[in-house]
Amino acid sequence: MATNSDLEAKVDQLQDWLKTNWSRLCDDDKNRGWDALITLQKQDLADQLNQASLPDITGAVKAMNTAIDGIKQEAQKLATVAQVVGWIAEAASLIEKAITSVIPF
Amino acid sequence: MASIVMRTRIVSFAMAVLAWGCCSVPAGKFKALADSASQLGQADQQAYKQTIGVERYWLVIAQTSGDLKPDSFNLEAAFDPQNGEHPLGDKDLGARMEANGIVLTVITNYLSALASFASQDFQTNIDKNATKLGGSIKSFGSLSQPWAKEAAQSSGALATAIDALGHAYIEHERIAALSRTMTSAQGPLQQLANFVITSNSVVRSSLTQIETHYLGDANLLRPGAPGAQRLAFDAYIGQAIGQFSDAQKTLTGVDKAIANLPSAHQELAQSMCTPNADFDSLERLIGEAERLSKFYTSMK
Repeated sequence: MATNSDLEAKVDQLQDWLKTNWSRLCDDDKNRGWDALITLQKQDLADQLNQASLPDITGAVKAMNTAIDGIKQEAQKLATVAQVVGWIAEAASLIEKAITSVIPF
Repeated sequence: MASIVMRTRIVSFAMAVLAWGCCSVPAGKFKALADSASQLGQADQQAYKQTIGVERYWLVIAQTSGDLKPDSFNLEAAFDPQNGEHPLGDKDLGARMEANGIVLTVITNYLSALASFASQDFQTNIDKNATKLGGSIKSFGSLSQPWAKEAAQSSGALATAIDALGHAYIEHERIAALSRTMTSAQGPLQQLANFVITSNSVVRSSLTQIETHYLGDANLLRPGAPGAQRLAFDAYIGQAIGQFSDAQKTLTGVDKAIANLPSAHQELAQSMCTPNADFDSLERLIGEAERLSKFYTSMK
């Protein structure tokens, strides 16, 4: 299982990419990117994610890894900006789903 | 036999009078300490309002795509959602500020009860202030968070100490009762001061995190070209950042002042039988509380 700091590093990487590449995004991508960014900025995300059910955690982490691979591909011109935004949005959506299914103490 | 008992009582009384004979109650300083605690309570309320203002700014910028709804700007729904959403920020932020408000009210009521007892016409106010103290402790009932339990217990200890003051009619009895009460309240008072500082530290760190995200988001939205649009945008963001800064300053000020409160209380307790006692902590507390009070008034 990923540690909190691993998850935090992944969340930060996705946020940083969105912020750094913001000016390259078209309006539609900005909309999707913005929604993803707001989710990624939510309180104690990594900590909450680690308390989700194992399938939810696995799904969210897999989506984050896909987005991070996408970032690397985009840097090598092997993927488009719109594709990366899509992968990040998918990861954010799975994170949101995972953390809202956590049963509060 | 009766005369021996009578003699023993007279000797005990004389010894007590001698022991407390050179002592006096600095009633004015007791009042000053209670007034400073009350000012801190007001400053804390101001910090609460400023924090809510900051959350509101954050909520505006954190709106996602899709239609706005009636509860889109509802702070409670955003920070403590009841169903199907993860909170935007620390859901305990409001509860922490509320708990601090209760603790500062308890401290103020405790010190006001002491100040009443220390004054010449104490009989009129002591019961009123003791009742107010009891009432303020009941407010802890609205907080179910585990971290609030210790503060509730320490507050209860202050009320017990005040109940033990009793009714003293002779000066030396009054000094002895004050001294006894303040000694037993010293530990709980220190714990309550620590509680306020810890809660404020949690709130400050959450505000810092929100501010970082807020500025990052604002930079993404900031109009690129200089002009009227960017001027209006910057003016709005400037107001928000000013609110963040005011909230941080108020919380830091409350921490700085309250850190001196337990030692000011101890100084006062020891001063009753110490000629030319120092009141460094009391003076620092009064100075900081007044500074905060002016800061608060200037922002009204």
